[in-house]
Parts: sequence; structure tokens; C-alpha cells
Amino acid sequence: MIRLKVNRRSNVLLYAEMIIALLFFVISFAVIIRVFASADSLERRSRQRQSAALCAQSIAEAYSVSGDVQKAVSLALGADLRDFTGSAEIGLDSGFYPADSSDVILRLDEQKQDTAAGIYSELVVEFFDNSGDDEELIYSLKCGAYVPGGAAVG
Amino acid sequence: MKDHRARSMGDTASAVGSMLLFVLFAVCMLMAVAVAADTYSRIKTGYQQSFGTAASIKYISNKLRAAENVTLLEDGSAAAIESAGTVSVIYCGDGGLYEKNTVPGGELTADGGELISAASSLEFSEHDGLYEITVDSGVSSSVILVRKG
Amino acid sequence: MDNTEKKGRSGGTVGVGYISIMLIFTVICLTIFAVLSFQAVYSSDKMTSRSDGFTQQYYTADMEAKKTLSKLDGLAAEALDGFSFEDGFIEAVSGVEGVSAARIAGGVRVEFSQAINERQTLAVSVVFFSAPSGERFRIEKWNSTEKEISGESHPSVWDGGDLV
Repeated sequence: MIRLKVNRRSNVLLYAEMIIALLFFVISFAVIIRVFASADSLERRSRQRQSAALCAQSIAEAYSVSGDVQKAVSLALGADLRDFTGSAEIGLDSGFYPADSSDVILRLDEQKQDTAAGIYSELVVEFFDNSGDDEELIYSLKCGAYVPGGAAVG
Repeated sequence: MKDHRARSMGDTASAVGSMLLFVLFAVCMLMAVAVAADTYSRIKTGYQQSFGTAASIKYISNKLRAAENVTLLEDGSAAAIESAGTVSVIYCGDGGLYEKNTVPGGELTADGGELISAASSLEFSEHDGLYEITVDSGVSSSVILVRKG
Repeated sequence: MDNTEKKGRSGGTVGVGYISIMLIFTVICLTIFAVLSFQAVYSSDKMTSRSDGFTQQYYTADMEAKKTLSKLDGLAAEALDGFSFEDGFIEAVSGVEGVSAARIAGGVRVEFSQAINERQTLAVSVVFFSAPSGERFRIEKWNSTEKEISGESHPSVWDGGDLV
């Protein structure tokens, strides 16, 4: 009889410890999961920003040489940008390739200024994350080109 | 006698039950640790690879921006970049990106350099007044255009 | 004393405390992995941000340099109408801040620099000719260069002379 009581008591203690442990585990796990989730989202954002930065630089470099947004986009991304009139939007997939399903949106905005001997123009290259509900700016770069009459320079 | 046997059976069942519960708990905990370790390694290796190729390509593009003279070597798999009285030969080999510094006029060969970062291939090409640089890490690949100086 | 009695005295099949020990070990392991993951990504992200900052600075300097170039090209176009292109252009350029011009065979070499950041500048060298638009200038240099920081201390090296 005493043995049975001792066994039952130890079992009750074991279950009680297990319940308290599970409770503690759930609370700490919730905190740890949040840290993992924030690391994962930071990694995703950072990787997106890196790809966007490389893409933007390629566009900026090609734009500096040609002074032509259509040619710059074609050289940097292989995208065909027809009827460009100062601003345009291009849909890109997660690997930053032109696609119909746009996880990322590339927005281009060009402003031209007539100078005494040519045209100085500025291009704003912006990448937006379109995977969530709201568009979120990933990366933005402003670059310039000078077209003296012939091709752009610099 | 029967009562004693029943009690003994009950004790054994209870002991086995609590033991099973404990084992289940232990397995769950070990699985949680294994999943956490796997997530950590996935985040770290995945990020390191993409960060490595991006960092390498930025390093090379910054070198090109400061270059006074650039010579493509070995069909574009290496480049000799001359800047501030030093020629840096950048090439890929043995699973890594290497850089060798020599003096202008010296022998330009793609060997004997120091490791910059891990990479499986490097390619330089010239078109439309631009250099196109591609760095591949085996898993991820990065491309950048840099205008000729 | 039989086996059941022994178990009973020791408090059942699984002793109290083992679960707590296992739990503490697991939570510590998970915390370490979570913190390491976050730290690895965070430090790399900071480096990426710094690199992005440099890129922005470079393109800002590049834009300013192109504005200066367009201004100089305008001055060169105006100088074409004068008696001597070289003299007129050098005189016009002398009014532009931070730009130096020197006559060379066949044209005028103009040099200027644009600060990228505290450590680097964009050095530009352009040769202007007396020619129509599109062929009026040739860019000789458009490079980012390290600034020479005055007062930079180098470790002194013993040259083999007598120690005083």
C-alpha cells in the first residue's frame, strides 16, 4: 500500500514537472522562434538588397555609357523596354530576371536637362519588394549621364 | 494474491507509461536542437555564399573603377588591373578567387596569388564600352557591368 | 527487498529533475543557435549597408563630375567662336572652381577632381579639341583614387645608422 502511494506520488511529481517544463519550453521557444524568424527575414532582405544593388549599378554603368535608358536596361537585365517616356516599371522575379509574376518591381525615372552643348540627364533606379501586401523600397540609386550630341560619355 | 498481481501490473504499466512519456519528451527536445542547428547552418551557409560572391564582385568592380589600364588574360578568366603603380592579377582557381600583385611590366600569369574569397568561376568580357564580370560560387552567381575607364 | 521496492524508494522509473536538466540544455542550445544565426546575418548586413553607402557616394561624385564636364563642354563650344580656341577656352576654364587647364599639342587638357568621401576622390582628365560636338573632347582618365592624407604616420624603420 505504501509502495503504491510512493509510486503514484512520484508519477504525479513527474507529470507536474513535465507540465511546468513544457510551459517553460513553450514560452522560451516562442522567443527563440522570433529570433530565428527575424534572422531569416533579415537574411532575405539583405540578399534582395545585394542583388538589387548589383542590378542598379549595372544599369547605372550602362546608362553612363549610352545615356539611353532602353539600352541600359537591355544590357543590364536583358529586358525589352519599349516606348520609354521618362518613367517605366519592370516586373522582376526573385532572381531579378524580367518576369510576368513580379516579386520585385524596378521603377525608372529619367530627367533631362538641356545644357549649352548637349544633354545632361539623371536616372533614378528604384527596386521595390512586391511580395507582401505593401510595396517596400529595397534599394535606390541615382546616376547621371552626359550626351554631348553624339553618344554619352564617362 | 490476485490483488497483489494486479497492483504489480498496474505499477509496471504506470512505470512504462511515464518512461515512454519521458522518452517522447527527450526525443522532442533533441529534434528541436537538431532543427535549430539545421536552420542555423542553412542561414549561415546560404548567406555566406551569396555574400561572398557579391563581396568579390564589388571588390573587382572597385578595382576596375580605380584602374588606369586593364588587360584581360586567359580568354577572360583573369584580368590584370593596373592602378597606382601596381598591377593586380585577379583570377579563379582551386575553388577560390585569387589576387597577385606585381609591378607594371612584370610577368602577368594567373598563379601564385593570395586567396580573396571562395568562388568556382570568374569571367570577364567586354562589350558596348563595358566590362561584364561574372562570379559564380557554385550555388549562386552574380553579374555586374562596369564602364571602361 | 525486491526491484519494485527499490524503484519506489528512488521515486519511480524516471527521477524528478532529469526533465528540467534536459529542458535547460535544450533551451540553452536553441538560444545559442538563434543568437549565432542573427549575429551572422546582422554583421554581414551591416557590411552590405556600408558598401551600399560607398556606392551611393561614388555615384553622387560621378554625377557631379558629369555636371562639371557638361559645363566645360559648353565653355568649349563657346570658345570655338573666338579667335583662338585654346586661349579662349583656358581663360573660360580659369573661372571654374577646382578645374585646371593646360595647353597640349592639338588641344587643352583639363583636370579636376570630385570628392567621393573622406578617403577617395574621383580624378578626371579630359582633353578638349577645336572640333564639333561629339568629337570635342576625349576622356583620358575617370578613376577613383585614394586621397593622400597629410600627417599620416608611418612606422619609422631603422635604416642601419647609429642609435643615438
